Amino acid sequence: MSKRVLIVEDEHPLAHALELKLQHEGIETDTADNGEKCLRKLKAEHFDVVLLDMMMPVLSGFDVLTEVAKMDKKPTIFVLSNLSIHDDEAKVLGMGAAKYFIKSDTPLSVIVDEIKKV
Amino acid sequence: MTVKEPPPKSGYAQVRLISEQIIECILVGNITGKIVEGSMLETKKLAEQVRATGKKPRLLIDMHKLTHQDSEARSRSKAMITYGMEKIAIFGAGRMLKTIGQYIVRIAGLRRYTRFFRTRTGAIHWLETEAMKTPSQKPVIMALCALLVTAIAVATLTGWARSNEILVSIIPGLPAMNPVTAVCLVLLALAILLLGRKQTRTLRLTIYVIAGLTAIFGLTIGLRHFFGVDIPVDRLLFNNKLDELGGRASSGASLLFISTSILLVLATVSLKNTWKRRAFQLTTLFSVLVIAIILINYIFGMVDLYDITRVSLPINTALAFLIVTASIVGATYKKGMFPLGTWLARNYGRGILVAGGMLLLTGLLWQQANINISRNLDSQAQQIFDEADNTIQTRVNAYVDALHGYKAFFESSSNVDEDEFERYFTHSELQKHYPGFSSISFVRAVKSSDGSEQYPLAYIEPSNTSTVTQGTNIGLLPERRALFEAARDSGTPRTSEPVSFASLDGQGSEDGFIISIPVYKDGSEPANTSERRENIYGFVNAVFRNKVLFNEIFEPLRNSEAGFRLYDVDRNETIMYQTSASLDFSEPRVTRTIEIPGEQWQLEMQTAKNFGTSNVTSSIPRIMLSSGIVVALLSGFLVVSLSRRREEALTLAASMTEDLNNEREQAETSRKKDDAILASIGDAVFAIDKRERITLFNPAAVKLTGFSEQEAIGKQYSDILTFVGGDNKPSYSFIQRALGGHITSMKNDMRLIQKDGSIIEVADSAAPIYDFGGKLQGVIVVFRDVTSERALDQAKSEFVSLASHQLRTPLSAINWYSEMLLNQEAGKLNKDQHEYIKEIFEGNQRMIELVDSLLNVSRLEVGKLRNEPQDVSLVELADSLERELHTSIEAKKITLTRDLAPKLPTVSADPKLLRMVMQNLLSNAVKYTPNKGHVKLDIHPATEKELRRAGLRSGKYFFLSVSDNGYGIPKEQQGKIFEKLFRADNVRKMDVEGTGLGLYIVQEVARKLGGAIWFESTESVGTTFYVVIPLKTKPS
Repeated sequence: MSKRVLIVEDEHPLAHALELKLQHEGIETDTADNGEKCLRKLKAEHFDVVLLDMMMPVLSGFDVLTEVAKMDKKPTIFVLSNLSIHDDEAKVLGMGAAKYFIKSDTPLSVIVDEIKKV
Repeated sequence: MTVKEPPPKSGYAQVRLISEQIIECILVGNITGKIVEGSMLETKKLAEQVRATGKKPRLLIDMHKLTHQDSEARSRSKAMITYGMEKIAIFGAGRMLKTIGQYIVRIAGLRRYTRFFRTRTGAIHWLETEAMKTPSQKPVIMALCALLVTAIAVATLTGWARSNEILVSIIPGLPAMNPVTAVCLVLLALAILLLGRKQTRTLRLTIYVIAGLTAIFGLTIGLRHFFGVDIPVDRLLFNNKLDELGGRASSGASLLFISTSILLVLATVSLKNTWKRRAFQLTTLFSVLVIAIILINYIFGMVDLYDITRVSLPINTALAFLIVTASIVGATYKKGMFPLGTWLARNYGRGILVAGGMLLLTGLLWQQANINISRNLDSQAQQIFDEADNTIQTRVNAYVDALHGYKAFFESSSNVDEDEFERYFTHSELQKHYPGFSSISFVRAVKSSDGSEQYPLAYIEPSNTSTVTQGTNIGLLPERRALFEAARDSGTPRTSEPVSFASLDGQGSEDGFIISIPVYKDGSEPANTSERRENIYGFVNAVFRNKVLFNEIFEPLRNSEAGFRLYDVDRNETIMYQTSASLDFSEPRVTRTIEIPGEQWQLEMQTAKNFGTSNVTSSIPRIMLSSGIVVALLSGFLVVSLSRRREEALTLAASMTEDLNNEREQAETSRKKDDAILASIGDAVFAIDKRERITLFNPAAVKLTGFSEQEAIGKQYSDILTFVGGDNKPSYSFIQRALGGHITSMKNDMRLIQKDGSIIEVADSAAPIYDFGGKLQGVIVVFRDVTSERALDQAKSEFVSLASHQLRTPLSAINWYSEMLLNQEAGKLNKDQHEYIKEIFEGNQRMIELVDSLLNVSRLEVGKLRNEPQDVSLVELADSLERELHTSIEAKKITLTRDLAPKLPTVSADPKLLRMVMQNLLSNAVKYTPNKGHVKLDIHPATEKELRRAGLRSGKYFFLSVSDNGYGIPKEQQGKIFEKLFRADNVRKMDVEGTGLGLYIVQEVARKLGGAIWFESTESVGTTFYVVIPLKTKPS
C-alpha cells in the first residue's frame, strides 16, 4: 500500500521537488507551507510520514513537533532543515522527530529510501 | 603668573612677586617634581628681577593648600629654597611637611634664614620688617675687652697705691706693671671702645691722640732699653716705690705700645689699599710674636729666650696687650684679611689648637716639676747641711764636757803631778771618745813679781803633739793671753780666734783653734771678775787642728756638688775652713750660726750648678718637657690627619649619598615610568603576591571592577574580585594555575561581578611573576571587558546560521532538481545534457561543501562547536567514512589500505568532531593523490614516542595517521598549511578543488578534543598526517 507523506515546506521550489520525486516514486503527497496548515492537515487526515521544515512562517517546525507530541496518532516525522545550528539535531530528535536531514547535504534518493523504510 | 594651569586632581604651583622684594610661591594640591621644577624656573626669574633692583629676594612658600608632595618634589624644593634667597618664610606646612621642611632647611644650612609660620600675615610681616643682617656683636665684645683692659690697669694702679705686690705683678717676685703703662693701657681701652662705635671725625681724632701718646711713651721706654738713654717718663707715678717692686716700664711694653699705636691708626682707615693691609698684617704679627715670646717665657721659664730677645714684660701687661691687640684686630677683621692664618686655621686649626694646648700644659707641668725638684734639692742640701751643723755642734759640746771633766780633776786635788795628769788622760780615752782634737793641756796662772800674769804650760798630752816645752809662758802669745784672760774673767769656756800651729811634722804651720776652761783655786766658783782674777789657778785647754777636726766632720758629707765654709762671725769673719775653693760663697745656699763657747761661727753651704744632677729625679723635668713636646706635636699631627681623614670620609660619604640619591631617583623615575605605563594600559591589570594579596591595581582595573585602588591593595583577591564561569560559579582556576607557574587564559565564558553587583563579560590571562632569582613572586592578571565582543560574536554566529540557511535553500533546490534530472525522472537526457547537468550537480556539491566548511569554521571560532563526548567506535567510523568516500576512491582508482589495531578501544568523544577530523584527512588524501595512488589509514593506541612527538605528556590516546603518495606540500609552504584559507601553490595550479579550510578545521578540532596534529610531507612523494586524540575527551 502506498504511503501518504505530508511535505511541510514554505520554500515552494523545494516542496515541489520533493512532491515530484515522491510522486515519481509512487508515494502519495500533500503539502503545507506553514506549521499551522500542517497541523490542520494532520488533524484532518492521516499521514504516514511528515517531512518537516524548521523555519517557517506562522508556526515553526519546533511548534509543530510540540503539537504533534500531544497527538494520539503520531506520524513519523523527518526533519528537513537548513539550519546550521549543530544542537538542533539532538533537539529535534528529542522532540519526537525520527530523522534529521540537512537539505542541501541530503540527496532526494536518501529521503525516499528512508520513507520507504517506514 | 601662573606656571601651570590647574589640571584636574593634580597640583600646581603659582609664583608671583607680591612686593618689591618678596616672591610668593603657592603650592596647591598634589605637587610633583615637575611642578617644582617649573616653579623653580619662575622663582629664579623673579629673583633675578628683584636682584636687578639692588635688593635681595625673599621667598614666601605657601603650603596650606598642598596635599601631597612626591619625593622628587621634596628634593627639588631644596634647590628652590637655596636659590639665593635672603630669607625664606614657609607657612601652612603640616606637621609632616614642617618636619621635612626643617630637615631640608637644616641640610641646606639655611636654618638661620628660614622660618615656619602659621599664618601668612606673620610670614609676610617677618619677611618685610626684619633685616636679615644679624646685628653685629662687635661693639659689645669690644666694650667688654676695653672694660677688661681697664680693670687690669686699675687693679695695677690700686696695687701701687697700696703697695700690693700681687696686684702689681700678679706673681710676687716677678716684674710689676709700670703705673704709667697702666695709665696708657686705660687710654688704649678707651681707644678700643671708640673703635667699636661709628666713627666720626672727633672719634678718629681722639684715637689718633691716644695712639700718639702711647707711641711716644713706648719710644721713650725703648730709648732706655735699647739705646741706654734714660728719660724717666715711667717714673712719673709712684716713683718712690718703683725700684722696690721692680716696676720700671719693660722693653716688651715699649715694643707693644709702638706696634699697638700703629694698629690703632691703621684700624681707622680703609684697608683696601694693599700696603696698608700689609702693614696691618705685619704689625699684628709683630705684636702677637712679642706677646707669644713673653708668654712662652713665663710658661717655660726660658731665661735663654730673654737672653736672645731682650724682651721682658710683666705678665699682667702681656695679658692686657693681648686683649688690646685682639680687639683692634677683631674690630677691623674682614674675611681674607689673614689668608695664612685662615689657611692654617682651616687646615691645621685643630692640630695647632691641640698641640698648643698640650705644649702649654707641658710647660706648666715642667715648671711645676722644676719647682718640685728644686724643693727636693733644697731639702737634700738642707739635710746635708743639718748633718754638718749637728756634727760640729755635738763635737764642740762634747769637747766642752770633756774639758769640764779635766777642770773637776784639777779642782779635786790641789797638787796634780805630771804622772797623774798622764794617767787621767790615758784613762779618759779622750782621743777615742772625742776624735778630732790634737791635744789637751793644762796651763797654770802664775802671778809674777811685777804683778803680771804668767801662763806657763804645766802638762800636755799627748806630749809628742807639742812643740812647746813645759814651763814655757804661753801668755807671751797675745792671742793665747787674750783667750786665757777672757776665760778667767767670764768663768766660762772660751774659744780662741784661729790660731796657727807649727805643723807636727815640723814643716810650716797649720790652722786651728783652742778652747780654754778656767780652773779656780780650791775648786771655788768666784761670783765676779775681781774674785775670779784673785782665785785663778790655771786653764785646761783643748787644741784643735782644723785640718784634722773639720776634715773628719766634713769628709763624709763632702761631695763634688756641695761645699762648706765656716767662719768666725765676731772676729772679722775670718774664714776658718772651706771645703772647696772653687765655689762662690757670695750667695750661699744655706747659712746657719753655730754657738761655740764664747763665740759664734757661721756655717755656710753652697752647691755647685750640677748639684743633684746625679740624682734620677732631677732628669724628670727634662724628660717630661721633651716627651711633652713630642707628644704635643704628634697629637697635633694626629688631629690634623684624623680630621683630614674625617673630611675625606665626609666628602666620600657625601658623594656616595649623592650617587645613592641619583640611583634612587633613577629607580624612582623608572618606577614612575612603569606606573605610568600600567596606569595608561587600557586593560585592567592587577598583581597578587604569593599569599594572594593584591599588590597592584591599575586604573583600568578600578574602572572595570568598581573597587578603588585603596580598597583593593592588600586584600585577598578572591575577597573582592568574583570571576564566574558559564555555570555561574566562582572560578579562579586560571589564577591558581598561574600561581603554579603556568601562563593561563580565562575561559571564553568568564564573567566578572562588579562591586555594584552588575556582571560584565571578561577575558584574558594570568601569568606568574618571577624575581631575578627565578623565584615565584606572585601573579599578574590582565583582563578586559569583552561584553561587546561577545555580543558581536553572538551576532556573527546568528548571522552565519541565518546566512547558511539562506544559502542552503537554493543549493538544496539545485541539488535536488539536478539529481532528479540526472536520474532521468524528467525524461531521458542526451549525452551532452547529462554531462552539463552533472557539472551543475557537482559544482553545487562543492558549493555545499564550502558552505559546510565555512559554517564549521564560524562555529569553531564562535565557540559553538562543542565537544559532547559519546562512545565512538573508531572502526565503525572508519567504515562509514570509507563508504562515504567510496565514489571518489573508485573514480580515481585509489587503493585505500587500513591498518587498524585489533581490539581498538572505544573513544569517548563527540562523533561529529571525530568524524570531521578523519573525514577531512581522508578526503584530502584522496583529493590530492593522483589516480591509482595509495592512501593508508592507520589507527592504534598512541605510543610514548608518538606522544613525545606530539608534545604531550603520557596518557591514554589513540594515534591516527593518514598517508598518501600524492602531490605533497611544498617545503617552503609547510609552515602555513594549517592556516585558514591557505592552499598550497602546487595543488592550486593543478586546479584541484578545495576550500583551504579543511586542515584549519582539523587542527582546531584536534586541539578542542585535547589532541595534536602534525605531518610529514615531501613534494611529489606524499604526505602523512598524524593525529593523537585522548581516549577520553573532556566535554566543552
